Amino acid sequence: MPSLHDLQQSMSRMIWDQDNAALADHLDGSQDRGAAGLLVYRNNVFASLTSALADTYPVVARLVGEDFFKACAHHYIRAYPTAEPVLAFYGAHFADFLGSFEPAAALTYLPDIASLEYAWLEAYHAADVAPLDMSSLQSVSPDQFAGMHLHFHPSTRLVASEFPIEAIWTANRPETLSDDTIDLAAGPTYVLVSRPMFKVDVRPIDAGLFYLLSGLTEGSNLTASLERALAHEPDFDLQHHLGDLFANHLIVDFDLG
Amino acid sequence: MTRVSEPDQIASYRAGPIPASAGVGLKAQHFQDILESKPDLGWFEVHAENYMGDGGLPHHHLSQIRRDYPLSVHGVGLSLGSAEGVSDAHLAKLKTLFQRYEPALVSEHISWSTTGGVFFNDLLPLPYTEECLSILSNNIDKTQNALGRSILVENPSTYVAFAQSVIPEHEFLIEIASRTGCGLLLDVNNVYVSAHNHGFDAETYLDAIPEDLVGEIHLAGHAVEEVDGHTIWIDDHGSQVLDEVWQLFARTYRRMTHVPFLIEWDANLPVFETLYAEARKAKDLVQAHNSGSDTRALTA
Repeated sequence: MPSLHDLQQSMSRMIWDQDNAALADHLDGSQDRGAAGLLVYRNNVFASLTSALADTYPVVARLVGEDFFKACAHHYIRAYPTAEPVLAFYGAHFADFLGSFEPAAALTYLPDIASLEYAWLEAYHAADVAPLDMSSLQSVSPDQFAGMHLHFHPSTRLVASEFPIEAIWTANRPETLSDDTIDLAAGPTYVLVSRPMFKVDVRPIDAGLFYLLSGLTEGSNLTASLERALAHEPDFDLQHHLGDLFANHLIVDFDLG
Repeated sequence: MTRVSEPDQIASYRAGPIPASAGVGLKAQHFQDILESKPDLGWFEVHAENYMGDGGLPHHHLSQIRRDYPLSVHGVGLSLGSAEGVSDAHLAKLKTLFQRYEPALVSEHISWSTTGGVFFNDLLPLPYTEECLSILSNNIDKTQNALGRSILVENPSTYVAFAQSVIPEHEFLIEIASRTGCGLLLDVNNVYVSAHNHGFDAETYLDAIPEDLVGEIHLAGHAVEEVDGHTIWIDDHGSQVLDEVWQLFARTYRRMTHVPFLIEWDANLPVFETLYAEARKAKDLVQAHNSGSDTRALTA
């Protein structure tokens, strides 16, 4: 009689490899009936994980179609087994996976769409933190200002792509479906994803703001981050953009590092 | 950084036990309808793992619903039957959720989902042996100690049975409760499904469960499918409760009028009104019995 641990390992092999050999002698009833019962479990595992992935990546699923997405998901399920029972973040590696998934290679923008959808998901579930009012900066002297670090709302995510991912994403969301033609060669896209209150906001931004935010969210001070912004957008208007970030409730704290 | 706290909401959460009346499984798609219509339901139940993110809309909505209704937290990921034990990290998340919402009931399953560090996201079957009793008891003890309270464990729906099982499932459940002090979440639909898959008598099973061990009853729809030439009853929570399951519920409820009962609907999710109608059907059945005005209601 196998131990419970052995039995569970045999079930694991059945699920991954459809290998019923170690279980066949230990089931009640005929071997045929046993195999049919095991198939129900196996199908449940793959179907439920596929559904978890489809919940996170509705736009990728729409772009590739149901059958292709299912096949894709089954490869992902095998490639990235998880120990985590919280399935909200089950698709964390899906963008990487798609980047090396040969059958999807023709859809060059697909991994970046997946990155955008995952950023949306992370923003959706991020912690709730109260924003800071811009007037809090009144205590900061001009010479302190240059070395200041800004702390962003935990939902803040940045996604850059050489493809128009924001346009593709918007046109394939159930709420904003559109048949408009999208020029894949329109140039790079920078997207800011955030959820200052409860609604996730996805908006395209200019290169200057993208690099300013990249610097700040990576922990650089205002001067160093501004230099990065100016390198990509020489007429970058810091004051305007800072006002905008505060107005959009994206800044939750600062320190004078 | 100031974390947004909701002390006023927590202070006004409804305390006390879950009433012995109808509840439904809470789905995100129904939040808006529920918040707007404030349906006349005794309580709601959520899957624990759906509320383990840090913040945002799911918690905002659940906090609002929790102000108006008692809550039950039903885990689907702890894997109480794992020979490798339950995950400390997952128990910690369950405890955080428990502290955040103060649910009146916490439940999990007599099944397993994790082996070799891989989570399979399904409620997989266990053999009913002494070894399994001992592993389950240890895992339930650990869970109850971590949460500082007793939990309910649910009878599974199963599609295979193990030749090494030596204890009938209902006796196995009673023994688990006796060893750990946990209560039982009696899923009448699961009993029906397993009885058909394995050829035991559902009524005998249900009649053998002592009413004082039962803290909650589940009702749900199931499907009957042909799998490689074999008819298998599948617990898919994807339709209305079937007539024969209502009849088993009626028979069981006669002994368990102190127990809250819940409609689960997780797949092919209908509009809220359809789910609410199922809960009202359960409520009507029970009210007819309690008032004694229609003896046929529970003897049908």
